[in-house]
Amino acid sequence: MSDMTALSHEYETSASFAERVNAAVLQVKKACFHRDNMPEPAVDALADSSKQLANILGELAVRLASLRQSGDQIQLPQAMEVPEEVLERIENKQRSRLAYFIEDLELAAEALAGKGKIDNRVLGTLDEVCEAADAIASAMFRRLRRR
Amino acid sequence: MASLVHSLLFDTKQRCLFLLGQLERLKASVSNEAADYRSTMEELVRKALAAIEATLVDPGVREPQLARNFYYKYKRLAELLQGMEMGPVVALSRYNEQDKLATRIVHRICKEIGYPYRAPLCSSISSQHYLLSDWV
Repeated sequence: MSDMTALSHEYETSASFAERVNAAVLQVKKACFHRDNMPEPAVDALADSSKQLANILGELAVRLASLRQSGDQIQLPQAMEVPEEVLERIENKQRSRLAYFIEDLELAAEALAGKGKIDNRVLGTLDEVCEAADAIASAMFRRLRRR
Repeated sequence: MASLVHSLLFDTKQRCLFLLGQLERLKASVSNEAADYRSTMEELVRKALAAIEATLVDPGVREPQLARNFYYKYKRLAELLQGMEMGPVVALSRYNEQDKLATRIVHRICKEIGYPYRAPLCSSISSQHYLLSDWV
C-alpha cells in the first residue's frame, strides 16, 4: 500500500470517527439546550447517540488507564473504536491531570448510560473528545493535501 | 460564532452548486470509462449539498452553545468539497487521450485480478508521477 493510500485510509477513519462523535454530541446537546423553536431530538436517536458516546468514553477511560499503569493489569476492550491518534492527542493534552480526566470520562459515560445527570462537566468532557477527534481529522486532511 | 457558522455553510452551499455545475457540464464530454466515475462524484456532491441544506434550516445552527459542533460539521463538508475540487473535478476536466489509455490499462488489470472496488480513474496531472484518483 502506498503512503498516499495509507494516509487516505487514515483520514477516512479519523474523519468518519469525528463525524460520528460530533453528530452524537449534537443530539445530546440539543436535548440539553432545548429551545421552543428547536425540534426535540427523537427519543430513539437520542438513546442511540447516548449509548454510542457512553461506549466511546468508556473505551477511552479504559485505554487511558492502561497507559497509566502497566498494560497487563487492565483488560482492553476487544473491539476498539477510538483511533490511536485521538487517544494519543487526549493523552498528551491531559497528561498533567490524566487521573482526573479518566474520572471525568467514567462519570460522563455513566451519565450517558442513564446513571447520572448530564451537566456542564459531562458536556465539557464530550467537548474535549470531540475537539480531539476534529483536530486529528483536520491534521490528517492537511497532510493528505500537502502530497 | 453561530452566525459565522451559518455564513460558512452558506458559502459551502455555493461551492457545492458550482461543483455540481462543473460536473454537469462534463457529462457530455467524458468518455465511457470515466462516465461512471463522474456520476459517482456527482452523487457524492449532491449528498453533501443535501447535508448542507439540512444544516442551514436546522434552528440549532444559530444556537451559540451548539456553534462549536456545527463548525466541526462544516469542516468535514468543506474537506470533502476541497478534496473534490483538487482531485476528481480536475482529473475529469482535463481528461485526455493519454489518460484514457492509462485508465483503460488500469481497468483491464482491475478486471483481470478481480479488484473488489471500482477501478480508479488515471490522470497525468503531475509532472512526476501518475495519480490513480481513487481518493473518494
